[in-house]
Amino acid sequence: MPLRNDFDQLVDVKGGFISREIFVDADIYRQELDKVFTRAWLLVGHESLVPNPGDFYTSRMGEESVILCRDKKGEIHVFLNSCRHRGMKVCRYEQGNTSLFTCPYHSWTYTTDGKLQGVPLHRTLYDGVLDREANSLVSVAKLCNYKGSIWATWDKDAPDFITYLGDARIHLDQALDCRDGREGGSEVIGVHKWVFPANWKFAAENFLGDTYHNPSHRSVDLIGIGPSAAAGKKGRRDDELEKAQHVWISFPEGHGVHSAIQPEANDYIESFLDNPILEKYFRHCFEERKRRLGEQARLLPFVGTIFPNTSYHGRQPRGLCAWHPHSPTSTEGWRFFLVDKDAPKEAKEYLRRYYMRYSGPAGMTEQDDMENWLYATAASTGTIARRYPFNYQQSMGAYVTDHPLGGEVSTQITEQIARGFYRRWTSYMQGGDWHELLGAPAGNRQAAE
Amino acid sequence: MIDVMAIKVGTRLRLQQGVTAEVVENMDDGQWLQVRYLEVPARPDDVGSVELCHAQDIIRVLGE
Repeated sequence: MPLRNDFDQLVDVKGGFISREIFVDADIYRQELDKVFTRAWLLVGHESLVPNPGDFYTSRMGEESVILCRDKKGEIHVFLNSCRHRGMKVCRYEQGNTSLFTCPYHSWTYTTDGKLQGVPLHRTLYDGVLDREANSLVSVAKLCNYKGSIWATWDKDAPDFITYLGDARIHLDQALDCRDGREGGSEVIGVHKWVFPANWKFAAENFLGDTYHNPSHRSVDLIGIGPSAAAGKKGRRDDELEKAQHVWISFPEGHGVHSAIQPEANDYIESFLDNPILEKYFRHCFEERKRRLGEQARLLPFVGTIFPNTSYHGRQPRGLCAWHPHSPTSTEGWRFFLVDKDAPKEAKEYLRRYYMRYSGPAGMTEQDDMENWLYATAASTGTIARRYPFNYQQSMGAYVTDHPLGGEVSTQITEQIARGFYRRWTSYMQGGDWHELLGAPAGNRQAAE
Repeated sequence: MIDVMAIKVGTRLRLQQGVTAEVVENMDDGQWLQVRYLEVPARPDDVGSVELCHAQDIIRVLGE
């Protein structure tokens, strides 16, 4: 089992080298489940997946199955999907509506607020012994409904979710807020789930802001899969950000984003030219957003990863993604595709198809990405390969720390975000306290307070 | 074996431990009924309380 000092050697942020072991080693992986996935805030789902009392959606936290459900009073819960009697899953469906979760094994039965309500032969076999209150479904320690997205942590000592997000919040907002600038208002129009043979961190790192891998999407760019492709615009998306100042930001909590700041004039750039209804809709949204947000409307999203395993696309396409670990070399990707709840029906349908063309197991760019992740994983499992660490020396020191957006801000393509991600990953693996996990230097707790 | 799917609201049941109860809701899952206790010899204070009752707990159907 690696010791504290071992992780400092495996992850050499100052030198810019990271051992391949952290991507393939089974023991390190087991420790990740224990030290990262039981403490960090994890994306569980979206409120639109459980709109009515009794609705449930089975999700994952780390390797473990959890139930996202709305009880009959309308309150949202997240429970471990495991009976307190012998551990059988109490819910074996992906989603649905129910008033009870009945364990198929011995029929212990729980209400949608997690209470153990029914125990067969209770008065005969358990009279005066079984404390039903104490045998409720295991609930997460903390849950947050953030603009419709549902997050949870098993750590009762974890900070609230807003604190956990830190300055990455306004970037995540770009994915969750309405296109016309109203807060929140998104809904999930579909979820893609698929398993691929790669370590989960390859995917998480990819969306931190690894713009350097753009050449791997060259074929897609040449073909043109964007919303104006038929109108003659090549590429993966419309060129809304071509005049923008791109920024790559590493946040102390381990999050990373690639966003863009439009020029002061911030004029509308034609988009969705393949469909007149969408063109009109997004032009309207642009003007409304600019009117509502003023200067703040200049900030637009690209991609980001909220530590450890939630990524987002902020605009074209738009959605949240959870990279669920299965093993050191296997990951289950879940893409939650987002639209504005009150968007025109035609816009939703068009976007759904565009999102699938872009992302998910059949998406053109995701296929490129997965090919990289899975071959990188496979090529790192060998005895010889493990002797050679990955190089993370790109744009060393090329960032500022006094930018209004917070964090370490770079205006050139950089691996500073990846270095920041693995610096924080190391803190988790070394059992750091929450001051350290939020970015205060180790041993500088008093200063953080 | 009693088919609890066929039991209607208002039906009275004889349960284990000499308990008598009235069905207030059929959960329609073939296993559970929501019942109100009418007689509970071992715990008279439980009379009137509503709980889930499993098919295995039912000795016989007393009638509607």
